[in-house]
Amino acid sequence: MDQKDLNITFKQGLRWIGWSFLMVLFSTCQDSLEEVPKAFLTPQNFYETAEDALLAVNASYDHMASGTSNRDFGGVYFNNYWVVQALASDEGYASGANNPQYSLPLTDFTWDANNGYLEDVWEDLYKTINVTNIALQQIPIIEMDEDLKNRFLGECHFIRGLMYFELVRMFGDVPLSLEPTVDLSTISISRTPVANVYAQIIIDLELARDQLPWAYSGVDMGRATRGAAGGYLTKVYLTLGEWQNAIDEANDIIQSGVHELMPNFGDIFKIENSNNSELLFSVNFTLNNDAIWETSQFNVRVLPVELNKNSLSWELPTQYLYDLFDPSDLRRDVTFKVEWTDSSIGETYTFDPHIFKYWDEAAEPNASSSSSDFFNLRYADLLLMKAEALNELSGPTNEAFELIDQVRSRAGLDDLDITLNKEAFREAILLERTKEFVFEGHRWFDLVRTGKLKEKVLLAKPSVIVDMSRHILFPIPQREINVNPNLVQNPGY
Amino acid sequence: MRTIFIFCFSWMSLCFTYGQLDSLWVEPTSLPVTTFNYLHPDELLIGKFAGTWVTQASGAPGSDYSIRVRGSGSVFGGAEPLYVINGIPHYNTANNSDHIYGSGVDFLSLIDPSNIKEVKVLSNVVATAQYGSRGANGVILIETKDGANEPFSMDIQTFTGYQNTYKLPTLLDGGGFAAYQNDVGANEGNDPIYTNPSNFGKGSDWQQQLYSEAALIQNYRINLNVSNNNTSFSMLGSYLNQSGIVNHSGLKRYNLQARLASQPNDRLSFSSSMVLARSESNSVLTDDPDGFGVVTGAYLFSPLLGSSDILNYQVDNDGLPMNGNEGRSLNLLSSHTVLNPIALSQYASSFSTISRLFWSSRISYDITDRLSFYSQLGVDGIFNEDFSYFGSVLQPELSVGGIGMNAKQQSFNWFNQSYLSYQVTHGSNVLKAKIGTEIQGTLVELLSGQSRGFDNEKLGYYALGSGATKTIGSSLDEVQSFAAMANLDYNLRSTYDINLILRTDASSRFGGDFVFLPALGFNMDLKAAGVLSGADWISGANLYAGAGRVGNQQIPSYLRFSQLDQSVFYLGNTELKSFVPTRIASDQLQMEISNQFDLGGDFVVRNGFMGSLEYYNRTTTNAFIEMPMPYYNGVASLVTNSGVIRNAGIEMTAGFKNQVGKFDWNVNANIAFNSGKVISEGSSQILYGTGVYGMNDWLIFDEGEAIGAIYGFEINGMVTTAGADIATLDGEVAKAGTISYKDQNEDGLIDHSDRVVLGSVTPDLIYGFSTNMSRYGFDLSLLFQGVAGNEIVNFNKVILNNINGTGNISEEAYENMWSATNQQGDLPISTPNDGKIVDQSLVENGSYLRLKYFSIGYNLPKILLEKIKVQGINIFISGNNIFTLTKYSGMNPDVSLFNSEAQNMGADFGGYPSSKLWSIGFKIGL
Repeated sequence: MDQKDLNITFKQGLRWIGWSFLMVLFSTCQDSLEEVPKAFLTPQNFYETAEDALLAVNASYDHMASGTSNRDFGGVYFNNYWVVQALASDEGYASGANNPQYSLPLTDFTWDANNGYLEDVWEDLYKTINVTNIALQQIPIIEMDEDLKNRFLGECHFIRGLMYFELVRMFGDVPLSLEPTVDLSTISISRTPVANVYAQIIIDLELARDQLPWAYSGVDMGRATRGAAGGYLTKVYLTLGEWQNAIDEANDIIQSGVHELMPNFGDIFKIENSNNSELLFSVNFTLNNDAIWETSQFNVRVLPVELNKNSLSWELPTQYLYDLFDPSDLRRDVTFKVEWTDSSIGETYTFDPHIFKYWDEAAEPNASSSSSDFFNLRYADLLLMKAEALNELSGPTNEAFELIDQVRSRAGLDDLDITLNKEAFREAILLERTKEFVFEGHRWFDLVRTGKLKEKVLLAKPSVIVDMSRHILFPIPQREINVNPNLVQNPGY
Repeated sequence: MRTIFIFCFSWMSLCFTYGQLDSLWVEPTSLPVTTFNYLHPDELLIGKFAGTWVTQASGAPGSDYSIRVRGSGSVFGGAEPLYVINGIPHYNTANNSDHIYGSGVDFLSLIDPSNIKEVKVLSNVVATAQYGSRGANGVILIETKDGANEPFSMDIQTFTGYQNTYKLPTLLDGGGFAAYQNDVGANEGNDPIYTNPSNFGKGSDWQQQLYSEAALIQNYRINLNVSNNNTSFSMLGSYLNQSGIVNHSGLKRYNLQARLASQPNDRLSFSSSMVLARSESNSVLTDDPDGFGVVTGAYLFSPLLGSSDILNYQVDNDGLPMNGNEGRSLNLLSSHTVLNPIALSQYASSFSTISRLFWSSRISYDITDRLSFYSQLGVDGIFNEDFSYFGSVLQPELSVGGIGMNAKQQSFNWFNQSYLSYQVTHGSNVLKAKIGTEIQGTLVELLSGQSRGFDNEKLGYYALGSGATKTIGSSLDEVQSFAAMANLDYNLRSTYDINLILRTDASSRFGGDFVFLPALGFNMDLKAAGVLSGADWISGANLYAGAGRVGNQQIPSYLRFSQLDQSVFYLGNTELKSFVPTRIASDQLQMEISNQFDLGGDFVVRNGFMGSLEYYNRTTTNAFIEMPMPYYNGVASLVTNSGVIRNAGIEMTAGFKNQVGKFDWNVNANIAFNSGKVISEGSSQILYGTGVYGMNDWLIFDEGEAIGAIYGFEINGMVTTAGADIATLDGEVAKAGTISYKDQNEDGLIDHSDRVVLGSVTPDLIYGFSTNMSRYGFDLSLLFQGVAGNEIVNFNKVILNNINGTGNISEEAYENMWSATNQQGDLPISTPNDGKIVDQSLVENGSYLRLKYFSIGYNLPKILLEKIKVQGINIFISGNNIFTLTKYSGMNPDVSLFNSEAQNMGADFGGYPSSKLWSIGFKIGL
């Protein structure tokens, strides 16, 4: 070969070297351009074992209580839920020391769609629903013990049903999402009519009722039970006016004998009695050095500033509510205090009525941090619900009187006058509920359900204007309407 | 290659870039030219490059700068430019360590700016397209000194100086504070608390105690250059010791940098450079969005408290400190605890180190006369450790026994680029072709531990095991990217040039999908084309145009995956774990792609004038947005590509260099106008802006609005007489002495729908002017820079003007406080929600003009030097941040609380104040 040939061969060789160099780089690169998460879990590498299933179910309890992840400020029953229920009624008012732009309009019935408390409640409820949707989609395909799987599914159905029940009562027609969002195609859904939402709630709660045990032991105490599902079914039917169904569901629980009234009203709220037999369902909080969002918010918010224990007097009971109590009613001095003695220095402070029932002073002398739970549904409620359904169905029967008197006698009150007519009995039940469930997150619901929102609120807050066409639903949070053009606002907002 | 001006490159450099007036020699390699005292490489960009906006995010020693080239190219992703140091590209990710107090030392600050030979800003698309999917926000090219063309030189340089604060708010002194407290009480109908306020005199001045009058700075550098016919070598050793103006803070930096370049024969050349650097810094708690820091603490703390007894804070009605633990903190506004700033600076200690090892190597081989092979390889390792300890003495009521933290992070970045280039000349026409690949990987690993409840607080972050409660965390971030590129450049008769760039890029962040990023440029040499045949006074002129696509990858990794995080809850008192979804996969997420068009021209006039004018239009059609999601999807937002933003503007640069006899004079002036607009916001307007002191959503991303539009309430005026007809935020009857907001939608209510755009955090105009003159051995250099047309959200006012009586306020606020006797006052006596509302009163004009750098030096005469056998001695005095003209009321209009975060620009709140620096030094050339 002469020099010229050599040159050509050399150039050709180089060309091939160059191309193969590029090809090799291309092929090696394609493999490493895959992103592999190693420091966190994704749905792709989770939901495989029974333990994963448990952790997925636990997420919904987490969202109801603390919600340390994916939440700015506590979970569903941390605070805003019961604050809204108390303020938007005859039961409570806000001092205005905290978020006056949200708390004062709730007190005064001037709330609007930008109310941050309402947005928080909506957000928490839906985030919890999303968590149950994920679990309900993933757990069925996990290979595990079928009984346990059914219990897990039952817990999720219960929580999803409960969340939609809260939503439908507060906001009316709501978007009904039953599957987790996987892509952008399903992100904007319209409101589903109330009747269809209730149909789904009943499906979920019935599934839960049939799959859940009556009780748990050990670390599982506090999980959803058959009593929880049945109790909420009772409340659903009561709200829908399906009286016989409500009675049937209540009977199922009463006949089981699992639940009973605590003999002493004040003991319900004692720390040592967490998850006691009166509770059909409660959401547990704890007191722990590291706990922030797992700590109960009741005492820090509702106990008087005068305690000088970092308690803040943010939400207070109305004087009207306090005055409803007969001094002989044993519940009064458990529920409220108007004076308190600091035994360490022997000084007594007096103040307007404040809610004291959540403070177990002996167990937790440092009032503001507390492991007090949120008491979603008590056996006393079930008794009063059944009495209410009986009265609506067939007037004040003996059975109805017997039920309400169980609750009254624990409070140290005499039996009701058995000559009460249907309307008077209705009023008596509502009054009993008022005194039994102070600041337990029921009040606005009870007043709307019984149609007495305006009548009762005006007794407690004479200067407010209650509009029964508007205030029986809360507005869809403006943020949701902004981001989802398919949502239409409730009337009047 | 033609050099069209002494301090600008030719329009066509190695990478065929156009419009290279963006390139400046920052420091001639030989003595005796005085330069400014630069401490951070980003300072080289200040005021010199048209359209490059440099913001000093925090005044803490070593903290980072925020750089925007031609506006903010991204709002919800990163908008910082790409840095290419000795050929190795990387994003200078901010050191946003949450394991130390205050702001972390910037990784880039570990490159000694005095060792930088040249810095360039690439902003035209034909230039940035070379960097493809990372070029959209501009590219900063940094080359360190290589010793070329210097037979032997060695110089020793040192300076020493001091820094001080240049503008602190004037707060009420003891007497003033007592009088003010009485007035607050009077507004509420209470009797005076202090019977004789003036008895308190000056009281404690917390700011004076916190800041140093003269924080010392010392710097020593030895630079060695040597070269022979085919090899050159440069080496630098330097040491910086900088005390911070906030006591207990400071930085030490050690650098060893070297570069070797060699061309052993006609065909082969290679160069290799390395940086070995370490920084050690102490920081104090500043720049905290919740106001838990020393700067805000110094604003708030009562001057009536004893200045030496910093752990007993509460005072009784006579202004005397009370004993006991409860008074150690002021719980001022709901959930905002403020601690004594002096105690905080002493007992919340923070120490961090960074070690950086950077190595880059380049080789080029001419296989034939026409065909060359080029390859470069680089590795960059950054190892940083953060230690902090929060003494229990600060908040004993929390009874945690101290909190110690230790975090270690290591980052690796490796890069290889290889290409073949082919060049053929036909007469005066030249064709260049290039084909190659680029591969890069980054890995960031973090391990952190926290321990609380130390039994013995003599132990701290080095003994985390001795704490009672320990938590550890770790994380990983891996990114791989790959690109293939081809480049075709045809030059016709040295007059017309067409440059075509084809690139395809893929990154693991975006699923490895390849994105095609082409660019095409055209350049005409007007002189050679004969267009300027009659104008002999013009020595050179170009016209150029370019169009192309460039990308941006600055978004966190793993967004294409849904994420589950561990969360705890309790049943009874049993702690239970759960995994909760915290993110939905943005599985279609792509890199941001910008379409850019440039048109411009440069000219040089024979007598030393030069100038350039450029127009650009960069539209990002799939801008990252954090799209708010309906809550039933389980998350509040999702990152998508559904935004469209546009930055368009004009840049002008003018320069002049002349030598008249022995008088050397040169001037550089530049000005740039930019308009950054949101063209489409996706599905709905987005409110954003991270919470500052409880106020969030202070920015809006909405169609037609500026990028970084500030959103809040417009002020109507003061309520002088109470009235029910005035709409208020809380629905209550408006009280006299409160502020009233404009009811924009006239529905009789003030609510969130009444908010409007109050300004924009991005400037419309940025400019710089620098000059250097020398005569009789003296030289003088000045650099002015400024911005106009931007607004700052001055959150400090929420504290300084909050006349609710809980903390100290500024003297000015007290004078303007509304009262029944001072109806002219414009500060409300009480504001809804403790004044925590973003309204017009917080939004201020951020325009300023600053003499940023000043330097005067003297070179000893040659006769003297020859006697002592040295090449040169230069003695200089220099100053940084000499004076600022601005209407901005805060400490510094050049601010950003959230460092370089594109999402949170333009907020000022409790940041580490920047300082004025005066120094004196000398440089000896051996």
